[in-house]
Amino acid sequence: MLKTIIIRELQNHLYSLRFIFALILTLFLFGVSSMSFIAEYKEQKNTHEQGMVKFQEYKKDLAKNASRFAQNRTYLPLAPRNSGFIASCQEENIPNTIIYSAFNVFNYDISEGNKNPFVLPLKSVNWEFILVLLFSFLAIIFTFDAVSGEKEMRTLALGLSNPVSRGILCAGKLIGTVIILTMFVVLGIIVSVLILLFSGQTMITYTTVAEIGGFLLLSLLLIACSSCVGLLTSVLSYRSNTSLLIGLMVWLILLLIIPHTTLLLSNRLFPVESSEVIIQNTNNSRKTIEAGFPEGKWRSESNNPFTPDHQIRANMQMEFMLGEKKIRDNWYNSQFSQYLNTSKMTLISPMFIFEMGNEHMLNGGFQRFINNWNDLHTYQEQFLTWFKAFDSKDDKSPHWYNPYEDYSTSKSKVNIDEVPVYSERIVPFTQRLSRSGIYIALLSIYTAILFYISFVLFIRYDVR
Amino acid sequence: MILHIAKKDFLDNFTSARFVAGFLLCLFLVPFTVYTGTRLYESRVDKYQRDAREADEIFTKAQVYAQIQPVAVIQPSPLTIFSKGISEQVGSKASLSNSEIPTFATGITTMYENQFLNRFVSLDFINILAIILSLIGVFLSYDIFSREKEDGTLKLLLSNNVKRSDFFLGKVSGILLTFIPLLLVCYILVFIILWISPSVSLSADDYARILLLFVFSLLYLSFFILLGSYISSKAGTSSTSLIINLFIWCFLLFLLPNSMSYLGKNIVKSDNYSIVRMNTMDLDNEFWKKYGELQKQVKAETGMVYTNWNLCAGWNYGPVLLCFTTHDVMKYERRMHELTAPMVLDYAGKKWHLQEVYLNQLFHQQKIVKYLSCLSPSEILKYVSSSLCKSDMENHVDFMNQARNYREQFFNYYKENKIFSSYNYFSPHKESEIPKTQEEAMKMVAQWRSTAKPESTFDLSSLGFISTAGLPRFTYNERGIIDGLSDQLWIFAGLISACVVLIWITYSSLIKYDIR
Repeated sequence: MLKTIIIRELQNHLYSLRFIFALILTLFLFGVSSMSFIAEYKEQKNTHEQGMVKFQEYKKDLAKNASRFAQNRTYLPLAPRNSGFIASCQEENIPNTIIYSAFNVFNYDISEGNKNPFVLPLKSVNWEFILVLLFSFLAIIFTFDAVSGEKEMRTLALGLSNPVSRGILCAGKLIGTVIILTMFVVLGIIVSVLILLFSGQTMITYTTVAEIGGFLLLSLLLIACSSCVGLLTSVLSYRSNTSLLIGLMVWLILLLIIPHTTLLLSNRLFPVESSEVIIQNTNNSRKTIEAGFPEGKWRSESNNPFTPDHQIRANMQMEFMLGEKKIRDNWYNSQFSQYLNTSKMTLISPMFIFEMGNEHMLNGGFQRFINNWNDLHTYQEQFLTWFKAFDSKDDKSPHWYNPYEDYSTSKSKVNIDEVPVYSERIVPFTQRLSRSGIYIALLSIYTAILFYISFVLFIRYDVR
Repeated sequence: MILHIAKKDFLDNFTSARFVAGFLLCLFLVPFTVYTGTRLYESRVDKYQRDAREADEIFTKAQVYAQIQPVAVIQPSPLTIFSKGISEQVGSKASLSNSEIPTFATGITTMYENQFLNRFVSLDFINILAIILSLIGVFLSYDIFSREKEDGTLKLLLSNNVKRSDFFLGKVSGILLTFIPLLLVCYILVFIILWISPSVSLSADDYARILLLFVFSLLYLSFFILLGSYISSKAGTSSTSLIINLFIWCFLLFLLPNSMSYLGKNIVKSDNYSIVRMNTMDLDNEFWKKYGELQKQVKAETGMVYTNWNLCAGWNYGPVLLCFTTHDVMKYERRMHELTAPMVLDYAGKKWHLQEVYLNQLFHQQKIVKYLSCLSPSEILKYVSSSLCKSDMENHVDFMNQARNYREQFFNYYKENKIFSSYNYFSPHKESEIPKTQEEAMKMVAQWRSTAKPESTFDLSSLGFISTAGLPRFTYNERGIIDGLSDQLWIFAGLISACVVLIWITYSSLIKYDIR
């Protein structure tokens, strides 16, 4: 019976106007997303490579003086991700550059890169965007009249007067919609992948195929969940137009209003100090530290590294840095917590669960940033150990470590090949998939609950 | 007759579930968004006041001319509560140093200090209106004719002595009339919130802009009502009309603007800013080479071997505030400043050529993206609103241009008045007060320390301030409404034309309708 209902639903959708509209929009958007990604990725990759070449030249120049080399504030931009066509994970809008030296990981920033600050903020069109916007919308458009339409036409009473289980009828309608929309997604993905392959810009590796598989699984769940929203409103209403109105209002709430509201509430619920307070605290810390050091703390002699005042100066500068680091690291951690708490609140929306699932599965966005942030702290310690070892071999250096000035550490030339190099850690796909497991589970639970409510309400429907 | 039909439709719509649902959503969202927008505006005003005070102190607390590197600050407009435009993406102050002509403004560049929160959707009043009102517009107009056809009332109506044009105008006016109280309530709610917040004060010009915003919101709504009416006049059934309307709505509001913007940005390329910075760094390196040569030249000219600065604070291509230092060193530093200052300005100009090319690429890209995304009426509403609310690109570019012109005027004043070659450029001492020998200088330092009792090593506040009364100061002249609207004339005309076309084709379709 379930099979018959599903086939009937598929036939219904196949001959409907919405089917044609959905097909046109799917092909248009997947086409636009791939073509734009090819152009964007090529540009970003070239720029990143050019930047790396310039950076190496700059490093070679700096390597003439070991202290300057170690103290230099290096900007580490995250390389463009080749899975960006699946989901950009908003990497262009959140910090994507980390600033460090051998002594400290100082700060993070949003690289201006290819961004145009004069263009009104809009989202990149990628597969995730298409699913979140178009397919959640289509799911409601395809299900809004699943029950209410039959109620209006009085075919539901006829249908239920036959020996058909209400659960099977309800599930059949849902599965029919999920199948047809998943087919659209698969079709879109095939078109998109073909364009990407013909362009020759993106390598489709085994990992990429696995990532596409993971994306399909999440998409299936999002479509099922959104279809359940449509089904629920359809069960609730007696008229199709009412169910469509309610469905679209719920869609707007889940898509826009929940993320917008949680953002507005975030500063109130999870307050974070302003940058002015941090600057003020840093200045106060500097003043206190400076007051504790004797006269001569600012004295220097560029020709004599062993001047005793250099040791006082180095200790003071080190304390300045450590004092500021303590204040700033606390501030950064509170910013991370604020973001994570706001994200947790936003998980009310299935669209956001879907986005978070993709972020973990692709190791993009905040996940990628925080991995690099933590790894860079480990690297910075290795870099400092290397510098200290290098400095200890130099008899001309008094070994008084100053994070900002080269008065009291080695000024010898560095062989750049001996310096430890930072490279981004590749997180294995299985690990990423297991991290996104929680979001897969959440979407499944969400879908199950919505379906259960729809089913219970449908059972209570009196055909008389 | 038009009035009669309009009144009937107005009453029908006003009590319909679809209108009430949309109205309630607006009633929740508008105050919430505007209240938060007002709080954010208040924090921007606080920051502006701090920045303006600091910019002023650059002049009032200057001890030498070299310390004065002006900063131009722009006051946030309370109208950004209505439409934030690009105000969150661009800064609010321009640092006008001698070494660089600013490409971008600095200061507040995101709504929230936590940059990770950029990940979330941030809507303003106009976004809410654009989404919710257009959806209600679609829901009220999708069955405007098709329902009457389905129910058979259209035949009845047209068989009476009712002109089809009257019927059409009456129906459309009925829906538009329904929106007037809804829009009025939304705007009144905004005004109430603005009036009770102490930091927001609206000028007569602001009220005029809000009035235009109201009129434009109505025009935007008219588009969706007319589109709905046209589809309704063509569609066989109301359900078909609704499905087509909703697909078009979703496409115009969400899919088209993002696709066109993304496509536009990738069709019209701009250089990467990091590369532009690297190229300007090449010019900096060239400058430093010349600077080194200049040092050698001046050392040879003045016979200087070792420059011993007894008390100095700051460095800007030479000491910024140098005092209690011997005459020969001061003479050397004066000569260095005299020669390097014009060179610094010259290199800022050279770097500007690269920056200007890059900026022009960004402007060109913005224009293409704007015109492509303005295929969507919601984007037209956003662009016109941001122009009216002084948060669009043109307003920002105007501020930056004024700031850059002021920078030129300021440093020209230095050149014309030979400030770069004077001792007062970098020292609070007159030439006659400069010590001749190191012993004399150290005595002066000891004497100053015992009398002035500085709080820290670099506390030189007791040295007094220079008079900056004659120096040019920055004042920002805001653009008028007409200037702002003239920039958006084409897209504005585009929306009106689309409405006129829709009226014409809907009317034609209605005329062609055969009641038999």
